[in-house]
Amino acid sequence: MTVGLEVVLGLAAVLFALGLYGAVSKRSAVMVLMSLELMAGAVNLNLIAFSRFTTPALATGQFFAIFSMVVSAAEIGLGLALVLAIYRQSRSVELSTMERLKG
Amino acid sequence: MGYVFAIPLLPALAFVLLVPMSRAVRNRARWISLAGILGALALSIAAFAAVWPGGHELAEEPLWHQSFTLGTIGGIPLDMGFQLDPIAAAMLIVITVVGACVQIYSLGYMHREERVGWYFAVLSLFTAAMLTLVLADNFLLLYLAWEVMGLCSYLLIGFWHEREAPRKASMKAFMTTRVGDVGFAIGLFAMWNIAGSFSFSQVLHEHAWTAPAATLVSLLLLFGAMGKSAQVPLHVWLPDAMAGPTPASALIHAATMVAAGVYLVARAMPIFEASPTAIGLTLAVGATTALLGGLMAAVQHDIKKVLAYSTISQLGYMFVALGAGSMVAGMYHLVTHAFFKSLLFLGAGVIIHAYHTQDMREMGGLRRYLPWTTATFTVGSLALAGIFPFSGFWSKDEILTVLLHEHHYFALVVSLLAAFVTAFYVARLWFRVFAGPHQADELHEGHREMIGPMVLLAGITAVIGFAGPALGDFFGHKIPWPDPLTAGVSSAVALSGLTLGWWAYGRPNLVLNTRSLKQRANYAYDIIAQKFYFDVTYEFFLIRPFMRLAAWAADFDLKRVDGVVNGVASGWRALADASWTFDRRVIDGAVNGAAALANDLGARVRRIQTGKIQTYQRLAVFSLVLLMLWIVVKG
Amino acid sequence: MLTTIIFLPLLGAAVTALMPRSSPGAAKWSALLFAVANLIVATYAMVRFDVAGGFQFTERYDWVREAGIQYYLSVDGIAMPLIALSALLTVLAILVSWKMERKPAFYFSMILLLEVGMNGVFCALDFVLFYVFWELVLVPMYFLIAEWGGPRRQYAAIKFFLYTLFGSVFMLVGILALRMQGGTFDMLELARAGFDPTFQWWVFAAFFLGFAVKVPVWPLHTWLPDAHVEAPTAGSVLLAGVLLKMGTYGFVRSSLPMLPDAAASWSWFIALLAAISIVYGAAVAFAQTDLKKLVAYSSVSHMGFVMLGIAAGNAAGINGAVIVMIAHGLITGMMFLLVGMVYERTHTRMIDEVSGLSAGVPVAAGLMAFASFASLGLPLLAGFPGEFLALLGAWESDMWPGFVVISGVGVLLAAAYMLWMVQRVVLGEKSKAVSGITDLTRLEIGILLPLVVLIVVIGVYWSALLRYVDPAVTTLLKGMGA
Repeated sequence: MTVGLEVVLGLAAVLFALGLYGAVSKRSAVMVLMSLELMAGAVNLNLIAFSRFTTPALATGQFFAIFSMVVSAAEIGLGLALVLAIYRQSRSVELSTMERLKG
Repeated sequence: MGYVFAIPLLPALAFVLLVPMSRAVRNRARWISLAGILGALALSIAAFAAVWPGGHELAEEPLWHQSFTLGTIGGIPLDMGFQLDPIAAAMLIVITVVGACVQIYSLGYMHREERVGWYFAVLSLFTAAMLTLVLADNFLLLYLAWEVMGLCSYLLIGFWHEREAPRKASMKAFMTTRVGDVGFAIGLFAMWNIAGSFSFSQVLHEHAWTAPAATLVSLLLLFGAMGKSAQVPLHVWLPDAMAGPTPASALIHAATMVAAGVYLVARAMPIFEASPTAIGLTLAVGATTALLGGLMAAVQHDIKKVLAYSTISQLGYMFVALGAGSMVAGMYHLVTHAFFKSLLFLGAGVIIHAYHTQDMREMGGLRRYLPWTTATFTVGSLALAGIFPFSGFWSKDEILTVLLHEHHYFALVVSLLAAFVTAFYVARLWFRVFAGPHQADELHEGHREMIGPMVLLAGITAVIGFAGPALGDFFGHKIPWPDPLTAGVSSAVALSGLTLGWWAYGRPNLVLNTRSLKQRANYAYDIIAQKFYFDVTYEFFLIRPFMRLAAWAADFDLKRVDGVVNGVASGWRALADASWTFDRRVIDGAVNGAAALANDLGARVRRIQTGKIQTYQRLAVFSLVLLMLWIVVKG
Repeated sequence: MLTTIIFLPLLGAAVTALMPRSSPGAAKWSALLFAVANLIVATYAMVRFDVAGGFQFTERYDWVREAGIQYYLSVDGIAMPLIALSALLTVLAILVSWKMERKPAFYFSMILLLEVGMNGVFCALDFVLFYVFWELVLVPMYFLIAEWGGPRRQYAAIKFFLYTLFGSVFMLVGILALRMQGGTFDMLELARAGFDPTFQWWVFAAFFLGFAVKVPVWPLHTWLPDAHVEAPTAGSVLLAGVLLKMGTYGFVRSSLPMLPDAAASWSWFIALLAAISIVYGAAVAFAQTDLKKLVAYSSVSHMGFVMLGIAAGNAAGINGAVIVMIAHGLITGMMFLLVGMVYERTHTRMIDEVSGLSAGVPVAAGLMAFASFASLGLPLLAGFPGEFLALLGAWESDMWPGFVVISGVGVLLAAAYMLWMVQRVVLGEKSKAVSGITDLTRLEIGILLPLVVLIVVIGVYWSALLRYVDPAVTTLLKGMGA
């Protein structure tokens, strides 16, 4: 059986929705970060899918996805570092404790 | 002839070695210094022998001449170097002989001093400078050496600087001679401007001097010479300079440095001869100084000051000779005076050590205790008084002869008067110190190393007079044997001066009473005792006003000049204050209004910012959905 | 080569500023390293310099092409010794601050930054570049006075800053006017341009204000004593040693060659101010009770000789002026170093309170006497040749001889205030402040020794400087005559 574009897009939509749910509802900052990764994965999947099904010769989407993954890896690193720093300060990774950071 | 370079270089080397004053060197300072001067002496004798028998040609064209370029000014080279001619050779001998005597004498005289190393170092530097001065082939190098000698003189006068008197005297000496030096320097500028060079050959032989230019240059040079050679009215420093160590006085302030002015004028004779004004003034200055110096010497009680004023007076004699146009007579007297006056100073050193005072009123009877000193000092005294056959007689006679031949009768009379006064104070000094009852116990003769040089100098003083004609030939001029008339007159004058001195101070059982003498000539005595009010005048008309000017200028600078600046600054501050007020009320009003608006808005908006991340996320998602809906509806 | 001379200290300033606070020694060592490296380069340049070669080591690139501004560096025999002087004094200034503990990184980087500006001024041949470096000098000097100065440092720093800024604004106007007329910022080309005499007169006036403040010429001198008294020792050394020379260098580099007609018509005025500066500075110095102020006012007097030589405008005069510039840098630098060293021990600079140094600290006393004699113009020391040549040039020129005589009296007065100072401070009985203090350390003697050697060498062997300066001056005069 062949997998069509719609199937892949559907999978990506599901992943994105899961991620969105997690990002909005989880209390732990680590969980929120994981959810964000999930959403980023969904987006990357979309990029690859569109590339594969529209202009298979060019592989632009694949490259772009790789860039995007690198960026999100860096971003997650930064995010975790921040979380770690906050944890050192307040012994907690609860998002609610971070409200103090507002200006 | 390259060894001539080594003559000033040896003492200079000694100085360089001594200056860092490392401990290893300090204890051997005297020997290093002595080695320098003795080496210079040996080479000087060789140089003298090479120049002998001298003569006129050598005076015009030096036996040896070596120069190098100091630098270029606008491409024009500034040359300077050394030359050896009869005058230089004779001066070399005088300087190194007297210098060596003084250094040997100092071994004994200064041996208890803590800073003897420094003393010898400066003495070496001085010797090097003086030797450079006489070997210089140009006026600029002469000036450089001249100034370095001034420094050495300053350092030696102030040798005991913990006491106030030497400190003040050293500064006074430096400043007074520097007044002359400024004149000298300006003379150099004028010389460069007119003759285009500093070198002797250019300036003296090749350039044809005419009256106005020659007058300008020679008067300025004369001014410099007057400062260094302590001529009236710039003589005031020399008596005070006696605060330095006595051997240094003997070398610097009697024999050599103070004679540098005479040497300068003698060198520059071709310029002076082109200007009747300058040469006339030289004569006038010399005659005045000879007489005033003698008079002041006659009223001093400090033995060194007597000798100092005597030096001033004798230097005046040399200027008289130069002013009469006879370079050779001036140089002749310079040479003889250098030997007998340094002898007298060295003797005075022994006397001061014996009595531990310089005041002659507290002395007496030394001839029984200090036989060597008495003998040598007597030789020196008779030479100074001008008694046959001692050296002073010959050279003084030569000067009087020149005056007679050149028809300077007024100067002749003044010089004879000065000779009379000289003989008088010589007798006064001698009788007070050596005759009469002794005033202390345990009077010691000087050490061997002090007596030796004195005996040598006394020997030279006794015989050098006979060498006069030979010396004249050496310089390329004629010095005749004394003619009986002037010799007779001057001897008579000298003897009567001595007799008067004996009558006043030397008669046996004389109750020492100079008061009656003073009372009889009260007014005149006061003037002389006050040193003709030169010091007071300078203090009152130059030093005090300058101090006041300086204080005023400092105050002016602080209050007025700086006041203007600060005034501008505070005016600016006032303006700034005013504009600040304007700024706050008007401009700031507008700006603040805008700011307040922004503030208000901000306060409202900031409520959205809760700090809850997920609220933000929801907001973002909600906005995204809205955006998408809008696109869908629009599309 | 010149780029290295300018930017090596800049790099050094950056590196020094970034030294961590945790290791306080790092800043001074790094500053010393860079300063010494720069001194080596400058010495190498000095040795390699071809005295007959005119302007050399040229580097020329467009900087702002649209405005005709270039990065144009080149030196002649007048600038070269000044660069060497500034490199040497920077090293000594760093060494003398070796014990500085307040914000060392900032302090030492400011000294290096100062060197950037000083070297830049002497190297630049593009007027805008010249101006940039000229102004750059103000900043580190301001901080040196305002951060590490004495009790009235704020006042002194602001006074210094505003005074010089006041002057340089006029200078900027002059530069722009020259650009309008001459069409270039190239200083050598402007010297060849030949402007209308009236125009020259006005530009000269503007330049005069700019340079005269820096020299300083009476009556624009009052920032100097305050700045000197308040500045730390290193600041005083560089201020007197190099910064003042920027003013006179400005006259020699730009006013004289570019505006020769105006220079001729201004010369009597400059000579007058020079003579006043000489005598007035000496008189005020005589009345001072603070050692540093005395030296500061003596600077006013000595810089008067430079101005006199410039006013003379002939070979001897300008040669003399340049030599006085170098000699004064060395001698006054040494004087300030010594005063600083004595102050560190006695904690007072009052002449009444410091006396009898020779009894307590013979080495310091001897060196102070040496510096004093050099300062009062004793032959065989560096103070003499320059002043002699400046006065000789003044006499040769057609200015009123009275100025020379007055300045000659100034030489006499220099002897008066210096000797009086020596008499009270160096000689005599030990005072309370002097008893119990220690003599100079080896480091301190090492700092002063190069100055002693140079002062003697320049004084004895005039050619050491003249061989650099005279060809450049000759070229300069040839240009002015054409």
